[in-house]
Amino acid sequence: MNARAGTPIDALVVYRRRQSHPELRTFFWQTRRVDVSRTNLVHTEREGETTYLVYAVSSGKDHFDLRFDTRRGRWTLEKVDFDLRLDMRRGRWTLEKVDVGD
Amino acid sequence: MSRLILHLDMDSYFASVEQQAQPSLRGRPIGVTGRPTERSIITAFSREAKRYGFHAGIPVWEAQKRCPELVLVPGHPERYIDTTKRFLEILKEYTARLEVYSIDEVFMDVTQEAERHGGAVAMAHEIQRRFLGALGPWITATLGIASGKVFAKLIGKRFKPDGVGLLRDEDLPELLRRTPVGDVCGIGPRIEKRLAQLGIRTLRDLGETSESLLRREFGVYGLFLHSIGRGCDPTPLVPYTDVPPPKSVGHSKSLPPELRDMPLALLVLHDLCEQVAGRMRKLGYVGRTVHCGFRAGSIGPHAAKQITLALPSDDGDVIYRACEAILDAIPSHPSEVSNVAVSVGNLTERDRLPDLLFEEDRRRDRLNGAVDRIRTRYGSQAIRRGSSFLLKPLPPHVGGFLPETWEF
Repeated sequence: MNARAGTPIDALVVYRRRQSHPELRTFFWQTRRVDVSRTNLVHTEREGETTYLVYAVSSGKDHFDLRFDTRRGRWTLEKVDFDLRLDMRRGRWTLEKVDVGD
Repeated sequence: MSRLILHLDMDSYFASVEQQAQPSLRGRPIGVTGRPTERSIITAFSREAKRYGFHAGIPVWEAQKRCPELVLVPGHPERYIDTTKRFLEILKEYTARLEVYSIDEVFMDVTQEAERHGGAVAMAHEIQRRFLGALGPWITATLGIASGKVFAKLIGKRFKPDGVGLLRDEDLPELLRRTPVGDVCGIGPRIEKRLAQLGIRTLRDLGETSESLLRREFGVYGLFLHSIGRGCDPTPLVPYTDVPPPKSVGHSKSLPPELRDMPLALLVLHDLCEQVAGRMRKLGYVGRTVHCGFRAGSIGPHAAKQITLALPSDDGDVIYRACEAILDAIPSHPSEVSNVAVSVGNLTERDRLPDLLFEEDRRRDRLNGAVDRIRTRYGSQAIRRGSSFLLKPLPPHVGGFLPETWEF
């Protein structure tokens, strides 16, 4: 699996009238479409004059950290948290938990 | 009309923010640290971890020995500061008389506002509901309500986590009887020990001790102690709009093992001097008294001295040269230091000073201004001293709180 912090991605968002940040609905990472089932936390970071919105979201049991550069309007994937388990009987890997990023 | 003071205290704050952000951490004992290595200390624990009797400042190796399933989580200071700004925006809607005590504690004077919200208890529950919607289910607050700050904080402690405590007048005698003096914010271990030597162990004991005795032993502070012992807290609430100007600007850093040799520690100190100078320029101050210190070895004593500059300065190199002179004056230099610190006091507003006389000083001033503009636009790491590239990036400081890092 390849995922480095800062991987550019495409994202679908909704801008709601009374919300201070866009709501992330879906993003596309490698060949995967990831539908966001829950936004756990959004916070702001600043680097000089650039403001970033950092999203911690879940898609089912998988969790992702994404960053939105408000100056350039770009989304990047920062952290991925899957579960990975080896089924010894069938000799098969099932995606359960892997930490990528940081 | 007696005051109605609300004390709001976020529950296991840093850890709960991490658990809110990362569902895999929920329900597990976690410890938030700057660097998850054996020799680091843990800044904050989750509720689940606190059941093991942990408190902030325990070294990682000790915590892991007592709780092998403890999960170490690197801290994210920006996440905590931003979450604090968000809940403060909510609290500002209730009253402008709001004192930001720390990154996770606030005092609010709601004497005039409580009735509009159905009373102080109803207001507290309303705040908790709004936090749930705005911050998420894992970031909770406990609120204490009383006629003074000390008692609001005390009563809130008993209802942690995610509770609301109200101290009614008829409950006060029982609270005074049961509360050890050491539980009171503002009475530290040394005062507690001195009080114990006088036979004073509870707040009721304090109230029953004569005011003249307490004044003799503790000076003006004795009046405060006597007042608290009688159930009356005279401490004013200092609204965030009235925060006094700083008396000093400083930075300290705990050093990882690979940076504890003196020459490397001095590089870190130089960086800290640059940071202090940058903050002073941003706040619009220059300073004359430089205070510098270090801790020898891992758990050795702290040594510190100060020096007064001939002319006030906000230049990092000037501050560092003063630190060098201070270190030269300290008789014994250890080969290894685990903490370095620098602060500048005796501050004056820069605008009140006459223009710089010499071209060399004016050139330095222009250079500092240019560096500040670059950092403001592109971030603090956009331009650095060449020598700082010899250092591995240090983890961000987790814990503590710099009021000037936010505006609201």
